[in-house]
Amino acid sequence: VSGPIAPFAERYRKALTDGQLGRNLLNFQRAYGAARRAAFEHWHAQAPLGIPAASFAGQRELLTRAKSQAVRDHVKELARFRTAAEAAGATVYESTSARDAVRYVVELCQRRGARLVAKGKSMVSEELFLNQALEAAGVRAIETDLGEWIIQLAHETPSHMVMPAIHKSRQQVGELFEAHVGRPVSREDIAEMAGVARQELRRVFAEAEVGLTGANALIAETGTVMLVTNEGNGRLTSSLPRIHVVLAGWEKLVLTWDDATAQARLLARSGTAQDITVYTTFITGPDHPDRELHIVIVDNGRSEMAADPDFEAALRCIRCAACADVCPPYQVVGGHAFGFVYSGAIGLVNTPFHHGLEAAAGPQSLCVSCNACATVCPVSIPLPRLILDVRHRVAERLGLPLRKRAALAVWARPRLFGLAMAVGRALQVPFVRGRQLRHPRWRGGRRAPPCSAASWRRPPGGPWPRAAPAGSPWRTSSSA
Amino acid sequence: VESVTTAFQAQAVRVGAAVRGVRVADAPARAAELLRQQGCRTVAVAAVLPDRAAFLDALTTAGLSEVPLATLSPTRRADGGISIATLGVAETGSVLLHSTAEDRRVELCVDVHLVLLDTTALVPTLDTAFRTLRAISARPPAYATLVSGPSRSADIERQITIGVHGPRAFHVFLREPGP
Repeated sequence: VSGPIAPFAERYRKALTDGQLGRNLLNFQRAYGAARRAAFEHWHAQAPLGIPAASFAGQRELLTRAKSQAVRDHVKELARFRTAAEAAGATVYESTSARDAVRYVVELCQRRGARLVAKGKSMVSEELFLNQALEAAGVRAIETDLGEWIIQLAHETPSHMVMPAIHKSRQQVGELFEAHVGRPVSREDIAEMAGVARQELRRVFAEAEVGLTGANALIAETGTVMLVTNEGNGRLTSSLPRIHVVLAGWEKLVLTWDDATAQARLLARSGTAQDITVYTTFITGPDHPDRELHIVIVDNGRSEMAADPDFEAALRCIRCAACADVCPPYQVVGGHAFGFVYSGAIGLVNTPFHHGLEAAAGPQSLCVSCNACATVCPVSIPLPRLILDVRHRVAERLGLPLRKRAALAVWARPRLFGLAMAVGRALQVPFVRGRQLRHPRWRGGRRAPPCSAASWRRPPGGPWPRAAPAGSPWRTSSSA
Repeated sequence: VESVTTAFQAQAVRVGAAVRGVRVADAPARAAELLRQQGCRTVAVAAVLPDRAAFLDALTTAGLSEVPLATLSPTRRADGGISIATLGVAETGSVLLHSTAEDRRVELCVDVHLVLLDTTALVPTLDTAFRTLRAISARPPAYATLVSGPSRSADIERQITIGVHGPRAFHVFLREPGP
């Protein structure tokens, strides 16, 4: 990212005025919904094999229990992971802050004289702004995941946790690639574009001294890192450079291989609607005496989440992004409006802990409490309720905007509200067309119902109700 | 056993692999023939293959040249590669590759990947696969991967594109024991 993150209002306006974005994301969400359903239905056909709990509901129960236990016992389980990984020859570093984790990786590169880092997709590295720190230290970091490479070339941030460049059209990608390689690239042929990445990035895999990846699970019983990829860049990144660095939030802990299996089953179906990811890799220590494996454990607000009884559940997240894939506001504005790397419902919940409550103040308003995210979350995180909790904290600690405060104050006073509606009815006359309110400055077909003559708060013909009595949950602190 | 074999074949095809049943004795000649048909001219063969010499002979007979493992890299690739799987998993149509750093280059630096899988190494589910792996060795292997079909991406407009960084064609020879 070349500059600081733009204010929420600006990101929101930009997304709303980008007609292409909404169309791209609507197509994406429709296709995702159908494909996800088909992937889970296929499980029924596999019944004779004896897969335990082979349904979304059954497997989700298993995984929710497994991840809850890992989060609850994370101190003990991290120690167990560490002992086992070190016994297998890995170096485990438990970083104390985001800055400390970044420092460890930068200093490791400097000490080993590394000039080029090949990166597999790592959302944690985006959370820590690691690339910028490496560049500042004179170390080039090149993204090798196709989507991440696209956004690196475009100097953008991921707009989706699984498909980072889902906001871009093939024409935009073709243009970017052509500018990068300096020869004509198709604007239509996606296979040709993938071929450009395949060709260009080979040199990076061959020359990088360090390969950096994330982790999908840290298996405590054996000190094993589970890493899933579809393109194969994760395997190249973790196999060819002499040094492999794994960057992982400790919430990736699971106790056993059985738990990791449940996660792999749900991650592929929920994330990309596949039965299984193409490459599911298990790494236990370096695979050769000359090679190094460093596992950097990141906290960055996770302990604070774990200590908060309301938000502890959000640490079960396996980053499948299903909550974004079904989110109606996400379809309209895309991931960049969320501001930081974690977008969709989970982003509204964990961003305050990783980047501060202010970072979530604007984005939390995107949620329409439709509950779609809760129906697809493979680890049963009560996302809609947690988003309302964030909203509550934002209002409580940062206050509400003046206009919202004024509107709510009017709404809390039935007589004043009735008067406001009467004024509204008088003023709206020139703008009402066919029982809909339109305004020449409203764009994109926006319209609203006109101010109504009747109120659902006043029975027909009856008197206005009195303001809510003191102590009523309907009464706000500013009510008269 | 037969139902697990059938289930594996169906699922492997579903994830984009091409599966053929071959007899152990015929495997080298069939492998050379397949790779030649696929347009390969250079082939790398994993060191761990028990009958590696037979495969090298068959490649030579078919007019294909061997790429030594020591020279194989992302920029000095082979067209084809031959490896052997530890296990095959019917649930996911995956093969479990549990290889040394050197042999892994055969899986990473080729365009057409052929994996030999003995029918005796087939298991029904991921759970049984990991339990079997645990029975083979007390400690988990340093590096093991379940491979399910060819390399793919859906990063541009969620359109599936086959062959990004890994092999763009993935073949499995299910080897029947016996002559």
